Amino acid sequence: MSPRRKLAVAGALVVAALALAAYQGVRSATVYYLTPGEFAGRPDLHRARVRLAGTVQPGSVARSAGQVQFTLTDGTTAYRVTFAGVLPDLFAEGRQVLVEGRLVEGRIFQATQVISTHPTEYRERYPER
Amino acid sequence: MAGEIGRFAVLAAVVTAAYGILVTVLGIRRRHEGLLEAGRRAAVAWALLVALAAAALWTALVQRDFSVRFVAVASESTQPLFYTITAFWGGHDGALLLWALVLAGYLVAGVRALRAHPALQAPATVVLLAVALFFSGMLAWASDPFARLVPPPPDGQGLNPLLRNPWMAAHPPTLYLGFVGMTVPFAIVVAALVTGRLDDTWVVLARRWVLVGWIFLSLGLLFGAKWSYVVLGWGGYWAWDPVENAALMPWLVATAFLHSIQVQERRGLLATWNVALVILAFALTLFGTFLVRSGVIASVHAFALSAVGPAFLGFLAVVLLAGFGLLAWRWDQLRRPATIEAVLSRETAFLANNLLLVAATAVVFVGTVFPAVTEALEGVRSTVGPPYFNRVLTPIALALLLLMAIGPLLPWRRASREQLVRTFAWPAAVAAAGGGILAAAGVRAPVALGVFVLALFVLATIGLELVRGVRVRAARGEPVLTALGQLLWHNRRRYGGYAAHLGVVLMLAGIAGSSAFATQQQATVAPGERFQLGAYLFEFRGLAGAQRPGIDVVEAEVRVWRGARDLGVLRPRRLFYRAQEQPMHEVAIRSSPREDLYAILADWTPDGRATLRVLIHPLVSWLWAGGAVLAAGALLAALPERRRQARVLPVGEPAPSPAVGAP
Repeated sequence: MSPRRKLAVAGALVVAALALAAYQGVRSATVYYLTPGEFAGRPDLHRARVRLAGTVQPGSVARSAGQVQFTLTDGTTAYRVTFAGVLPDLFAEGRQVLVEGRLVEGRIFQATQVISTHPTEYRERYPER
Repeated sequence: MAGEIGRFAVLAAVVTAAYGILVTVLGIRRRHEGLLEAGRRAAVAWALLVALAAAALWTALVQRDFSVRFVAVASESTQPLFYTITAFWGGHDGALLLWALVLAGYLVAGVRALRAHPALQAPATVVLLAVALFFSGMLAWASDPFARLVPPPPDGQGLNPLLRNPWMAAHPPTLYLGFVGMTVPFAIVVAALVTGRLDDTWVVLARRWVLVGWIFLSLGLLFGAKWSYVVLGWGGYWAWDPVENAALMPWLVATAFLHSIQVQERRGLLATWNVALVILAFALTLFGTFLVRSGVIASVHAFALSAVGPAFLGFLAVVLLAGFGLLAWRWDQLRRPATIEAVLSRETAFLANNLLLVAATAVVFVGTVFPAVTEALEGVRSTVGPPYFNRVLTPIALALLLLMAIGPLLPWRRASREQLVRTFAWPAAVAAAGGGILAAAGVRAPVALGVFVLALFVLATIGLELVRGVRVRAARGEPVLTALGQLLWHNRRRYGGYAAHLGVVLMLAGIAGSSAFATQQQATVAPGERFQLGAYLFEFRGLAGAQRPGIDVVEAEVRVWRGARDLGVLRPRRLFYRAQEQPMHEVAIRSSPREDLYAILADWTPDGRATLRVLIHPLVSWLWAGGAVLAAGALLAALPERRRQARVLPVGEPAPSPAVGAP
């Protein structure tokens, strides 16, 4: 075989291996991202690791030693979220947050991560006229 | 007033760019030097108008003219002057103006630099002005930084507290200097394709511009990582967020180009491939901006949705079609008679390096856009998490590290077995011994161990190269230090490249160490209580309140011991910005070459108990140090070199092989 052909074969093998790894990687690392309402309608995902996007219901935040509980809602469906880590800076009642974790029992969602979408701009306070 | 001037400058810039394109195209068709000169002047005028617009926005910011919407959004009365100035790029419209301002600099510099190549200069000017037209058009119609707010509010909202940080002040300008830097090589390549001047002149011209952009892009990525580490309070520096990926992809492609271009310079191979890489790097900078600004992909950055998205996508389509269309058209002319002669050769190592870097780009691309694709197909949003990136990119990174050790020392064309043994026996022995010692010392994580062993291999090959070079000079009677200095200075490109490799090695070691061996602990403690993490003992001393202008501060005092040694006090804080009603973490970091101690005040209760989170990140400071070495090395390689400046060997002439057996 000419060096050119050998390299082409080796290159193709590497690319194929990487494509396979990428495919499996995407399969295993995909986290669905739903609202509480959508999540309630997808029982097939109830044992999976998901992200829920919703609003922190005002008045629902309860703190105890090293742990915080709050209700995440999209206006129709609500889940009680427990979280034992550091809350992001933009976390507040009435704010939009993303929680990542899994459903533990009934309506309790154990979050391993709370992410606040970070608005670089606050357009809502000064809407264009 | 400043607002009107800015608006006028932007509109005038649009007209100027359009005029410049028109006269330059006419000038090329009629071979009329006067028209071409008018086009070059239009380029300078465009740059001056954009500079005027930028000056107007800065004036409005400093005057706190809240009748300008952007000023009201990004600044407020108590904001320090420094952050009022950096608020320029703290919002969407200003960031786009910053992009245009950076482009203005590159436009003038690029047109000037091409004076010696009149045939390329005119078409390159058209390309640069077309990009300029697009960006000033966006500023005029899609993303106007001078839009009014009627009636003006009494005070502004202020810059997002997360952005009030020196690293965030530096991150966007450097990143944009990197992004926009890819425009000039793109213009050069398109000019070469259009005119059919496909000799290797464009290679030499494009290389330095890509290198300059690449240095800034590296720094921009690094500053962003540092910002994330010190400000976001999650203890990490990289999250595989789409916005981060957007900046990483052009960096990877530009890195590939900086390697493969050497194969074209020395062996005349890969010309088509190199053209494709330049087009791709530029397209990825546009794609990155589209990702960041369009809101298509859910990201923690979640920038405002705007009309900018579709416009970028359209422009991106034009760039890809034009670039690759021209490439296909000139395909036959780019082909060279030279070929790869042996599998074991430097050109093969470069080829493998390119394959891996482009594959890494593809991996990042897939992980980044996959959620958008599934949303379109299945109607369900999803994200592809860090495990995907880590899993697929780790083997690529290890393979690149191995190539980094082998590639630079392989001879061009063909390597013999004896040469390989002579070159790599010692470094391989050093790496194996180091690996044995590390394993014996208890380093078990396989990936981290692999990185450390390969890192040692790279270091040993670079070290051996230096020793050999110095020896040859010292044998001629030069003192050792002089010999070393002379060696580095007279082979700037080569040793600059080695230094860049050294930087990457340090960074990868830092990444491997901090991701494999990080530990953390969260504790809720009353004043006087202690807790332990690793070799460290922490004592919570209590909370204190303080005031800064516009900010309320709560501070925890934490005394730290390592064994019997008193390391002093860490003070993690929470800041409350009154204007935004927004709290923010200020983490306390104690950094040493061995590891970082990172403390966060997570929460507290009215009775004075605090929830503290402490993390130990081994080797994080190596990441920052490696970045500095990388940039310094690349700068050295970018300096002009008089001797043998990128000589392209005629086909058939035996190439000197400087690598093996010293100069």
